[in-house]
Amino acid sequence: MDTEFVFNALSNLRRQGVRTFLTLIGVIIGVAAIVSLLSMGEGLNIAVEKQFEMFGSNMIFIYPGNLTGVAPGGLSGTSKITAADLRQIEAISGIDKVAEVYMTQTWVEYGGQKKNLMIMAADAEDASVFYDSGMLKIDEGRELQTNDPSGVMIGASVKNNVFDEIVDLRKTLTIGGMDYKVVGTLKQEQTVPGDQSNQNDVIFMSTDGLRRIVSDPSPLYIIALANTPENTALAAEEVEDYFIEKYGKRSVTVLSSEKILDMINQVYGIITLFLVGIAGISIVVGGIGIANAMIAAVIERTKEIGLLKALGASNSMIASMFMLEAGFIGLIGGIIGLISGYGLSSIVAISGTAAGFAIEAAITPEITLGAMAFSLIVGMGAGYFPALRAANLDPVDALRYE
Amino acid sequence: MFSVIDLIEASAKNLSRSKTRTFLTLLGIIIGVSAIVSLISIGGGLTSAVEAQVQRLGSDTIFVIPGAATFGMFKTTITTSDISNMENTSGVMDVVPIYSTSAVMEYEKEKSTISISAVESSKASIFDNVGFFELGEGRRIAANESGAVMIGDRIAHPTFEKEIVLRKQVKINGEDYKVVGILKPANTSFGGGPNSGNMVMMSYEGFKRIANDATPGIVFVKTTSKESVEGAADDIQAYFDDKYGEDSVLVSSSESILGQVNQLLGLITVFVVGIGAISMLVGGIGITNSMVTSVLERTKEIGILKAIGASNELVLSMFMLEAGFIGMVGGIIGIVIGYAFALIVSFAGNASGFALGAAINPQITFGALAFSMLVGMGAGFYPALRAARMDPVNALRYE
Repeated sequence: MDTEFVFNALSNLRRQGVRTFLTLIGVIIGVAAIVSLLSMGEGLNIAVEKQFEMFGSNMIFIYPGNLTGVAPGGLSGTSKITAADLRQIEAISGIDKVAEVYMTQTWVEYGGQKKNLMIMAADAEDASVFYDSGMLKIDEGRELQTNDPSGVMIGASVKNNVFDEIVDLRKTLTIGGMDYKVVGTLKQEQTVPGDQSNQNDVIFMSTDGLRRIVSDPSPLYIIALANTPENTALAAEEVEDYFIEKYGKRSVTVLSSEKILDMINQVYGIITLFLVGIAGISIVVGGIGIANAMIAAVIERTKEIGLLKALGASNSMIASMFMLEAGFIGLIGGIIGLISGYGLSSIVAISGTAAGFAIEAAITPEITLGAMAFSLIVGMGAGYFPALRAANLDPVDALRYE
Repeated sequence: MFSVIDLIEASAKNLSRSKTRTFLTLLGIIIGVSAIVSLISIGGGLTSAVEAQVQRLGSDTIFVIPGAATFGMFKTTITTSDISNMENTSGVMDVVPIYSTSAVMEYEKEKSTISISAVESSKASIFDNVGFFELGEGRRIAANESGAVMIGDRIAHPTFEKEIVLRKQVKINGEDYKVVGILKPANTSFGGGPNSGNMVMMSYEGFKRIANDATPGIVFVKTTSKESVEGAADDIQAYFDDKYGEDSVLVSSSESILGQVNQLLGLITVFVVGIGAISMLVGGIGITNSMVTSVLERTKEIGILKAIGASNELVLSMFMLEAGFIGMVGGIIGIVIGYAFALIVSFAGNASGFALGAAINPQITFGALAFSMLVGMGAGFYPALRAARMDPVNALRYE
């Protein structure tokens, strides 16, 4: 054997190797992009859903005003919901309890500094909803007691970051001109991307405490608890009917926690779909790469195909052979791309969580099987025409091919 | 030995030798480039739409918003003395406070909650040509006319069963008002103004009949010229920071709002285009693959070229040029398709009410062209190197 022969054979192999390798990389990149996007999108969705799971499935949120019509700069006002309204709602069969949540913003003085902070207030007995569901977790001190008009609980950032001096328990904050004592501090909460309300920056007080600085507060939203999860949807409707009758259409927006979850899922779904669509373009290009490589392979192996046919292989056998090869490239690229994609999203999730964001990488059977099936199909689809050409080669001409 | 033109001719000829392969490789680049170009173009169109809206608001306008949050009912109260102070700030031409509240409107026995915005009648002209609160039918509220309202086009119809036309009477929180004008449909896009279709406008005097704690929800401040905006905005911000504390009142010029919105849009565009660029990467790999095959096929030819005196550099540039050529042709077609797609999207957007344009400018065009050529040549480097380094003797013997 001449060394040149060996050299030729080796370079043939390497040639095949490089080409297959490059084609594989194309598929891997495309699949990795799609999988990582899907994984992060689903992860975000789950993170937000978890937040809402805390609320319990029997919660109904009532927002004064029409949510879809909020304009920047406060150009839309809020309806005044009166105490009488609240009693009426509580009286609806199917509603267990009603809690009003107030929110305002005012200047807070401490240690010689003045900062503008968010204040949230609720009646202490109703507030048990927040403690029980785990929304508010006490770090130091205690919860607000009923009728405590001068106690406040502060979020983790208010304690540590907002003012130069740390705000410890039993310190006094001057809020809206009145003095309040810190009775409890809350644990640090992770920020969910897209969630504007971050309770780390909020000060909580009782409604009696709020009335010291705002004479006639109007609730930001009302939480109504249905007595059972099954009744929630019906109860929500009755509440809505009540408001429409009294204040007319568009006076309130009534959302059950289920509806909110649906809305959230929808939004994340659309965003993810859009991004995945764009990443999907790279898979299309990868598929074109597979087709290209297969065509070249068919041409190179023309003689081999002629031989196979001469030995008795049917056209469909030849076709399936090549389609299988192409599908195989797709599948392998898909698997490696899948693993890389998950790896990428996991890295993002870990660094995100380290930075305080509640991001997860979702590894689900749907994404896994879907990605694998998709890359297999793309591979086989790409191999279709080259396989057809191979199948239709005239064996006599093929054997004569130089 | 070979001129550049010869090289280009040779490239084109070689590429047309294996048409299917070249076509498929080209297709990959075309898809990648058109994806990137259409995304950038649409992004650019969005930016222009926002810019246009802010221009309409006036580049000489400052927005003063009490309380940085959009929710919350205890916003910092801007008092009449605060307003006079603003009026006396140097560079300020006019101060227009806008009061808002929500109320219940009754018409023909039907009730609906509505949002009310009130402006002093003499200053209502600030809303001409601004895209929202523009007059459609009828007339604006005259000075001190406390019993007149202008209603948004969507309140006229279809909010209530019966359509509300001019000169009809409505009850708002129990008080009677006459409809003297109907607003034009709002024409705003992202970062623009509110959707005034669902709102009701009245004069300050009319507003006082139903709401007495009148503190403005937003104050428009018009300056004497574009140049004085920054100075006036700084002065006003300092005044409020001093009086009510930091973050008590948000003061921003249309410039800064524009800047913020552009920044956000820019980030989003970069992110999305980045994802689209992945397809270019895969397309480039396709070029590499195609060139590797091409080099192998032409091993003998390369041997001959070297035998008759072609240098390694010449062979290298020949193949790199071929690859760059694929990139360029794919780029040109991709740019055209990309723009076409962006135009389709903008037409569809305009049809459904979004003021969307497609940005078609030399920067995008040349940028995309240069990028695709670079990708092509970069992709062709490795195969070209292999070709250049081939031993001519072995190459000539290749079967």
